[in-house]
Amino acid sequence: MQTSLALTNITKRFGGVVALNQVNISIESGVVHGLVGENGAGKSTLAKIICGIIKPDIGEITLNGKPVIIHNANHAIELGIALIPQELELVPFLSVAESIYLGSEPTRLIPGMVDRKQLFQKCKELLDELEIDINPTAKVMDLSISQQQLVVIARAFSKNAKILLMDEPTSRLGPEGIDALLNYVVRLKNKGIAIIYISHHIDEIFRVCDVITILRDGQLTGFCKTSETNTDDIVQRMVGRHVERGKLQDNTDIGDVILQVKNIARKRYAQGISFELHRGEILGIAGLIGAGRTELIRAILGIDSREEGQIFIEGKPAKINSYKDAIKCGLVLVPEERIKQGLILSMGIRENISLPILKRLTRWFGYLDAFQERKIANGLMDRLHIKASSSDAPVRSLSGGNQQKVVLAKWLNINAKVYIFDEPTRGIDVLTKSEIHKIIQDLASKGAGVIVISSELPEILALSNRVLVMREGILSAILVGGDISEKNIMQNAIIGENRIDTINRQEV
Amino acid sequence: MSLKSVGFKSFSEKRSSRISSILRRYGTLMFFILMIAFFGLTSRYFFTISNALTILDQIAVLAILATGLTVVMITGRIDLSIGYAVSALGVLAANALLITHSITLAVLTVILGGILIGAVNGFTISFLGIPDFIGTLAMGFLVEGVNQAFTRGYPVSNLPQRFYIFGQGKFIGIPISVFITLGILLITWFLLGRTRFGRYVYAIGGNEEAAVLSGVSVRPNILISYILCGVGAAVTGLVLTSRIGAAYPTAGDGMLLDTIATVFLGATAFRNGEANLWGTLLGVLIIGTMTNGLTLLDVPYYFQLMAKGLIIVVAVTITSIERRRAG
Repeated sequence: MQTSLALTNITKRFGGVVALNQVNISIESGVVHGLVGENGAGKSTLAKIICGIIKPDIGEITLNGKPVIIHNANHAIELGIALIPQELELVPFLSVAESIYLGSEPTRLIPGMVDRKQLFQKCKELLDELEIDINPTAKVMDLSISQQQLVVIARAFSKNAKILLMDEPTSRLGPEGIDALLNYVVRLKNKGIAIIYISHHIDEIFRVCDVITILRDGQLTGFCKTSETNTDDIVQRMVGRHVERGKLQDNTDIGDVILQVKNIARKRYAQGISFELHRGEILGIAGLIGAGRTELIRAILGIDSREEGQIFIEGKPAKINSYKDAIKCGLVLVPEERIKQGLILSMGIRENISLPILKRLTRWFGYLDAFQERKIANGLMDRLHIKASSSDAPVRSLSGGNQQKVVLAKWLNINAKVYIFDEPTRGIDVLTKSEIHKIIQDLASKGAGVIVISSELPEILALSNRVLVMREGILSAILVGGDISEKNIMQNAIIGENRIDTINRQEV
Repeated sequence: MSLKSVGFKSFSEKRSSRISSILRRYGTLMFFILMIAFFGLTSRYFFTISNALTILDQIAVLAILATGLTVVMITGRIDLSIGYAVSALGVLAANALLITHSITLAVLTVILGGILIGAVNGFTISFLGIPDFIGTLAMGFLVEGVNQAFTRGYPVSNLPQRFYIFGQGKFIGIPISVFITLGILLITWFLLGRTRFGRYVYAIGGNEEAAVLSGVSVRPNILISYILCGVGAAVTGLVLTSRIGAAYPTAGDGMLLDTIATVFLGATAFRNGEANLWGTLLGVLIIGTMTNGLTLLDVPYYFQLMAKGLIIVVAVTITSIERRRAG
């Protein structure tokens, strides 16, 4: 039963952003087709189109030679296209059989009554055919993650899937689990199933895929047989932009060490990370989503608890057990999600900006100096070019860029020693982006230490004096000067060689 | 491609969305005005000063308690112990009065009692991490138990006449209870609107995660808000006992639901579905005026209850729709 699915000229826009531009991809029975690209390259959009979750603006889809429109996810399943998502959505206390046949249980004479005998029987047959060795009566929560994944796969096959789309299937598996899965994928391929394999792990792609499609910024930048290419080539195609490291200012005086962290560890997220930050320096932290960058910073700042680690500020040990401690020591964070973490939507600009410095504005009896508060807020609004009717305007009404400026303004009131920005220009227009970059560089040039976490490589390149690359909770590389390039960052974010020996390595 | 698809609102669309936003902000107030107009037209006695004073006197107790509860509810939490606390604190006030023969000491004792109850509530919820619903409910039972054990169900009476001033006295024709209410309102308005504490309370209620990431200490502020609520219950118990002339062990028990309803009602007014002080005041006025007006129209009690229930359902529905719309 040969199947082939071809997507041609697929284009998809979200508002002003082009997520996919004239992308072609074809999937055949018995072929494992790898799909790679950076965050934002368009992989998930393409996957969603294949699985019927969204529809392309332009383009054709052909199934077995016949043109087809995939109306919705259920229709895709009927057509034999199944998604194995990254987040396994299983109900913990159901049994394997119940999970697999959830929604399509075999029923008895009285409609609505599940035929449990048949349920388990059917399940056993399915699992045998798929060569999956799991007891149909076992409860999902008692299974290992690998086994749970197999249950999700079995469920796909219970609906007669011919095309399987696996999205980052190994993201939560340990080495043995990965091995087992990859072996299983090969077995499925030999049974004639068509598989699309989306992953950041280039080594897995090379192990199990027959062909590879590479996306970059919504474009198709490469399609080749695995046997005819290598890792370098793939990474180059993933990243290949030519970006001059156009920094708006040169390396200013970088002073002595202002912050030093040793051996920061937080279960699962960060393992034994150490680094230094100098006055006047902008340290970029790059890495894939999930590499642990935000978690590392939150552990350092005491927002989340850490298991190990020491922090030194200007050479002296600092006791940071809560975010308030961190602020007192002069470390501040502009968080990743501006609405969820950075702003109080029910309040105005002024009230948001003044929140961290209310102590300074308090007079006798806890009374707030409203005049001073307004003055400070207006001053900051001018300095940052925040466009609003007045400082009383509700932040809810501001554009994304202006909202982000309000979040920044909050912390500019405090003469912090270290400013940490987590994804400072995510989802913001180009003009505001460069304004914010200027502000960040300004802070560094005035002698503060600055850390910028970003998933946008051009941003990292434009701002950083040095770049920390993280990968799965460890420090993969520290890049300096000429070593800082998109290719190097990407490589270390995805593969890297060994972890940096964080105990012995000397900081430049 | 029409202008509409690009997102340009036509003139009439702009006008109707402005109307709906006015309705959203001042709908409850408009409802109140309409209600007053209705009662004014249907009952001769309604629009008299004496009736107005009666209304204010009757709602004073509810107003004080609701003001205290509002502070807690702005932070997004609740206090289910207030009804029992009012009863118990009323008994405490009466007993303190009988023992010390000093009104001043009685007032001090009851306020301290309120602080204590509030502090225990606040501590278990913010520092021990017990969910507010369970923690305050349990506290309520505890307080009621102690109260019942102490009084064996008997009211505490034979209170000295001079004590009645709080609940029954008048000054320049206006009931003292109204003055007390105004005082509490003023203090709370100042705390919420003009102090650092008030700002923190609104921040915690608006977005707790963002508040923490702006350097706000959540726990101490929650503790203080519960203490203030406890003090509110204390003053309520004092005025209530003074009004009745004796401390009945169950006097305040039924106030919990009315008070919560009032604050919810108030949340629909002025602030997009979030608890706020003026809204609570409006809520109290609505409930009080509604009861008074319906009574003047000889509407039977059970019907008044139904009306109250209906109003509250409508209020809470509007609140949750507004909340969702505001994101």
